[in-house]
Amino acid sequence: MIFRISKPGFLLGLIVCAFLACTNSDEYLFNDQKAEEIEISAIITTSFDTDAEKKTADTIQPGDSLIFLTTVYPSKSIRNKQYYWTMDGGNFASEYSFKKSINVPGIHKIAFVFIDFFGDTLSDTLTITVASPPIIDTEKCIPATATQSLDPDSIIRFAWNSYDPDSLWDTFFHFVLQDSDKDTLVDTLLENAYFASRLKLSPLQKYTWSVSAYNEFNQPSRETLTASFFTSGRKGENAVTGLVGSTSDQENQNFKVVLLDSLQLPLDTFELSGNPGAELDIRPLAKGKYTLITSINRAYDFKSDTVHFSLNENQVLELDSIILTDKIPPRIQAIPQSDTLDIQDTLRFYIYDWGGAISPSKINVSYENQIRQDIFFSNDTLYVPFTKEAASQNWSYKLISVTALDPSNNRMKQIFYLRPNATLQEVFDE
Amino acid sequence: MAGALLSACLHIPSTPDDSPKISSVGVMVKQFDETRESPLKINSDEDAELIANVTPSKYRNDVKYYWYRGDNLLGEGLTYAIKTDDMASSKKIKKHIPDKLVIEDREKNRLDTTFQIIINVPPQLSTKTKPENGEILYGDSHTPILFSWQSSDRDESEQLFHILEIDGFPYNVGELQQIQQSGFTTGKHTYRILVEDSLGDKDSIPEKEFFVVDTLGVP
Repeated sequence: MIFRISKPGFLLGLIVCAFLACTNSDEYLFNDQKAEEIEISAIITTSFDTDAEKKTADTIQPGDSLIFLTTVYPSKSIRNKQYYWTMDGGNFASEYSFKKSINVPGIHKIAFVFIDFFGDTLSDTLTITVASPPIIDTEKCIPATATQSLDPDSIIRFAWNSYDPDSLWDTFFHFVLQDSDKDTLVDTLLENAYFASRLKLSPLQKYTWSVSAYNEFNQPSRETLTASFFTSGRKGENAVTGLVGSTSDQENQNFKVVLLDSLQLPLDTFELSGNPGAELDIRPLAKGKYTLITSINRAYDFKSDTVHFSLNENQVLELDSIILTDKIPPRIQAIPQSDTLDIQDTLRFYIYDWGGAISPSKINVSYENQIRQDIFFSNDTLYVPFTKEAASQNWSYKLISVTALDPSNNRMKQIFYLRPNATLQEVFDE
Repeated sequence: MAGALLSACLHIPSTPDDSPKISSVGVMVKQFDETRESPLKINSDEDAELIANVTPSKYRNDVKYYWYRGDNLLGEGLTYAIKTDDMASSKKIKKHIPDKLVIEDREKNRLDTTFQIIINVPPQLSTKTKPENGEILYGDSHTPILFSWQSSDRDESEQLFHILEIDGFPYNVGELQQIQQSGFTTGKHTYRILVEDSLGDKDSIPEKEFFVVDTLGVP
């Protein structure tokens, strides 16, 4: 058989042969030194801030959002067949990075799966625990708050209701018992929602107890149960307690307390000081009717408070808070006393209050709608520098107002008139 | 025709499949109209029934069931009835409560499982409680009232948990058997107590009532 080859075909054959001769076939062989290994990783964070902590495991509350991030080495742009996320084996997401919330309580395994161009599967798994904090009943407890006359020498049993809304997690409790001086007598962790205290307590004392619930991930209950009780007195003794305060924001108040018996005769007179309030605690008292009159020493603007109460056998009566009020504002007078003033180098005003010292920062002076900054207040006297130049020659009356706030924030504004320091003719002549 | 007969004669039936079809066998307890697999616990105060559970369940009626205590055959059938008298003593328990189930199919394939039935004595509440039913108590809303009760359980190792229900509100008081509570207005109040052991068996006392009278007043 004879093949007949045309001239163009022969030329094409020559070109192909030349090309193949110039090609290095080694380049088509696998070279493991040039191969790059693919690595992936998945992390979670709560914020896009670069400083935000990045984790591979976290505990969140149902509905909390997490940001899921991935890294692919050498690059996310390398050829791949597929990538996706699963949660507990089911579909979760199909993006590299995204923000998503998980509502189902439990310990979830969330995996990022990457299948490369050759079909090899790589994955990285995160652990997300979704848990709701325990709930504690802050209203109903044993003993109910303000229980009286518990025997200080016997076991006192506490119980409260709490539950895990997820019904999945163990709950434990932080129980604290404090006396009226806030000294901690019991501070313990409990596995159960009850506690029996065998501590010997003092008679006629107020004790406060509190409980916070935690789940096994240390998530605390949103609320803390706080309640108090009183121990009984020995030999039928009684007591009265309470808190005395005032409307003043002044520190260290001195309260005067007078206790009258059922015949309105003074039984006891004493002083209390506190910042801002003072604890009242009168003991021992026999059962009967009493009157308590509370006032503030040398602060006559405060109205005294009178409380009538009765004490039963073995009772510690906790009174409602006694808050003394001052509704009288400061007094402001010009020196000499007048509401029309002559322009002088320094104007003086007498500002006083019988509900506590007035702070210079609570005094304002306004002249011609301008707040004066150069005022000075000392020994109940306000000094307002006032040169004739500052006033300029004027033929009409000018207003100057002085405003003061007392420690109970009662406000007084007094307006004074500055007499003209020139006649109309003098002003126009000038 | 002859061809058809020839081909019919040539069809040789395959060997019957005598391999076991049931993959597993288990036991469930039925008591108080409730069936459970775990724990295998029976309240000793009530009759109960053991039920065999085979997987796949479609073969349930294709096998025979044999209930054993050790090597002693106690009974046959899908279920095994347990009377309260069978649990009256440890001797009777050893005699009447099975610990092994054997199933056998038509091909004589056998499958067995061993198990242990927990015979739980339920807790008991004493009917003597404080306040006594109809008791009149004196005090005001701050006065603590003592609630006390007693419970017991012959299975001594178990913890008993109590619920004290006062005026319909349940307080989980755990293992406590005495508390003091205040906050009672003048008039009629009710309470009852429930006890539960760690295996879920319960006892309770009927609701009791007491009356608070505020005679302290102003001295």
